[in-house]
Amino acid sequence: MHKDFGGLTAVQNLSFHIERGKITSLIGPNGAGKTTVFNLISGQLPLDKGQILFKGKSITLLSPHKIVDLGIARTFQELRLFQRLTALQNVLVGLQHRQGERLFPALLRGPSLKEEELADLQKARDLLRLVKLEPKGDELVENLSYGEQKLLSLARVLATDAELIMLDEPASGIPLGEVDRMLMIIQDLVKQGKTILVVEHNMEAVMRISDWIIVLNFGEQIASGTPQEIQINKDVIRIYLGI
Amino acid sequence: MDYIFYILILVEIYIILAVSLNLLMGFAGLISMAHAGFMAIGAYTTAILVTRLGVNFLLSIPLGVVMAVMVSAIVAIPSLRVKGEHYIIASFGLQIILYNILLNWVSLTNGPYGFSGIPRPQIFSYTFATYQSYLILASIITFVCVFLIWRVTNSRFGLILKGIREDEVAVLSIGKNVNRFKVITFIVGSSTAAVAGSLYATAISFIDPFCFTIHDSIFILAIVIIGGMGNIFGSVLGALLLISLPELLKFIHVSETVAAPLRQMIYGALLVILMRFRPQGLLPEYRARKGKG
Amino acid sequence: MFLQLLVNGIIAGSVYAILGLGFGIIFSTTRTFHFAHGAVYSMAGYLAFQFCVSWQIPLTISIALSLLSTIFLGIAIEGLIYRGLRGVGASSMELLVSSLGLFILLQNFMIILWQSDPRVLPVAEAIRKGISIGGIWVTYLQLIIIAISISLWGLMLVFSHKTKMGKAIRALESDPEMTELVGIDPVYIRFLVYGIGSALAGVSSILATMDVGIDPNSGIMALLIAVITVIVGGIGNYSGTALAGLLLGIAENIGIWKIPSEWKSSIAFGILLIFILFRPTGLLKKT
Repeated sequence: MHKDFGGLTAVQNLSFHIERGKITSLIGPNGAGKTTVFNLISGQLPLDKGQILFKGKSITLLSPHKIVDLGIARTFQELRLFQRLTALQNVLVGLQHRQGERLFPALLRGPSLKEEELADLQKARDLLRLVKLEPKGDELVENLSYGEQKLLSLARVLATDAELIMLDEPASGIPLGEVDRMLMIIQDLVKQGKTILVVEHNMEAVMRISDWIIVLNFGEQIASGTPQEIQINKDVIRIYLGI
Repeated sequence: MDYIFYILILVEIYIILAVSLNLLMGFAGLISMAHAGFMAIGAYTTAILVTRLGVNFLLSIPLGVVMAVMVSAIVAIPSLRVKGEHYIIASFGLQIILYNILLNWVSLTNGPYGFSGIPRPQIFSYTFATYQSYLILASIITFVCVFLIWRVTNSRFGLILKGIREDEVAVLSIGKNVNRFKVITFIVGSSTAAVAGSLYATAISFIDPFCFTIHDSIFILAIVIIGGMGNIFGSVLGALLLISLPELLKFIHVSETVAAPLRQMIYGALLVILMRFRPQGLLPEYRARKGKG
Repeated sequence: MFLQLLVNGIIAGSVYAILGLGFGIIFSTTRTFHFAHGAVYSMAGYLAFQFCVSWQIPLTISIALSLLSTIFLGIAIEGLIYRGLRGVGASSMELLVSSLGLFILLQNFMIILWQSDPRVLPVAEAIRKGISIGGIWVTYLQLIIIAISISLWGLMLVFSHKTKMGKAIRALESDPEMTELVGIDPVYIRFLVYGIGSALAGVSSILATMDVGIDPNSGIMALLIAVITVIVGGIGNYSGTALAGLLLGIAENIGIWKIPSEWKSSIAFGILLIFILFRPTGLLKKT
């Protein structure tokens, strides 16, 4: 997967690859443009110059839902869960291409639809179990703690069955025990063949799980390398200490 | 007694209207002020087909729906580009334009004179002449409409609509084509209003453009809000209350010229009071709003 | 013929411009869809009629009383209804619905009091006299309307850009949070804005009642026209709104030359829909 960005003011002359089956992290000070990169890839922000290639095909001009269709899904820093739905329902809506989403099958409710619904419920519960939220399945999201909501947003993005999963600050703002759980789940995902792109501020987490790190500052790439290389990189140290 | 059957028929007509508008507003977040206009499409299609072409009433219903589908489809797509309050105003504009068409396209609609003496439905040789018999027919049609819409709201489709109402960006991010959902919902909801219009035309036997004004759209909106947005049974209850309770006003001796605006004043006051103390309506979809700190 | 229609349009547009300015200042500052503005508008005309015709109070005093009452009504709505709703965390939808409810309540109250016949404010015959300027007929009243409209537009611009209060209002328009930090009291500003907006509604209502009369449908049509001018003119752009009002009046009147007059209100909405679809930011760029 190859990304070439140019000329959106928040992000300039940025070009990088993401390797399949690995965990790549995007780090950098606040305002460095990390979330902007996510928004560009997911199709929420239009690209002024350059292109984004996924498995050899350009996804630059596609709308967000089509990009999910092709296999890229993301979480949000602000979560954007459906507060007035239950945890289980939040995961259910993440499932792709279900019959129940189309009007006539929904109206007619044939036997294949009912089978699909039962299978979906099972799948959704499995995902909730993965993030240890199964007992809270029928709770409204607005009643869950922040850490629980973060895990739920992970479950929802997993429901999309995407190949490339982009996680926006998965380890921030949650207690230490939950961070470990989150990181373990992320590493498990790679074992299942997923590719992960992470934006994260929690340096310890980043160093622990990343195969590759890209450092951004003011929308440009300052450095990239393995965690060991980044840790001793003079430019990186300078921009972090210089704040 | 006959009068009670008449009221019940009216209640059912407004149940269809409220439930279908609730689909738009309470589920997809599409505030439509043109619902009376779509009702009119059904009413006028039935009136024209039945009185001028002798088409059977039951056949005129799906034809009315087809007309409404066409109009709503034409309107739905450009309306996607319109956000928030602009959408409400645009639907206002649509209502006014539809009303103007009813009033001014005289060769089609008889203009301000409308249609009178619309005959009651006939199946084979049986005519639903009395209110009592008509109520049975209306009840079946109403049940079907409410049931179908309930099915939609209770499905994965409905769940996604609730998501759209809350956060479109999030829905896009899980791969759903928000625009497609909105267009389909708008078409379904608006054309269901046409069914209510067809019933209205043959129940009351007389229609003119003044039955389908912006004030009527606002009335349907009031029913949805008072009954409870996002709750189908709330719309049923709301229609029942707002149509039948004002009939009790008839027992208080006010002159006819005062009764109608007085009724409206009560709706208006209800809306204000509800928004302050119980904005989720009579039958809420979920719990009340949280206070801001 | 064309010129006569053009002038008719300018007269109608002048009233629309004042209408738009009133609704506009409220909407751009508070971002509340003040549906009840339509009822405030109607109330002014009906009250003036009541004072002047039913109670035989001299016209000028009637107008003054009516304007004062209208300002009071607008401020009361903000203070008694909207403020309470905001205080309990109401969403903008809930504010809109309650404003709608208020509109229905007030509008029907007026129907009970004054029935459905149009009511006209009697003005001295001298002003109703028409004169012919270059073959075009206008009445003195209509000339006064145009003059008042232009003056109010100018006043609004001066007020907005040169006075402390005007600048405070613009501050609240663009950045509500900053405004509070800088020590401007948004509560006071909102009252001010509802007062000004309602006064403008009152002026346009009274002028219209003098020229063509008022009836129960005037309120909602006035509201819709106000909304159209604000959207077409650009929210927060006073000159744009006034210009939009003027152009709308002209378009409607010239429109009926070619399109049957029954379709007049569709012209307004046609223009609205075109702008919503293709230029939602409005005619002029925001200053």
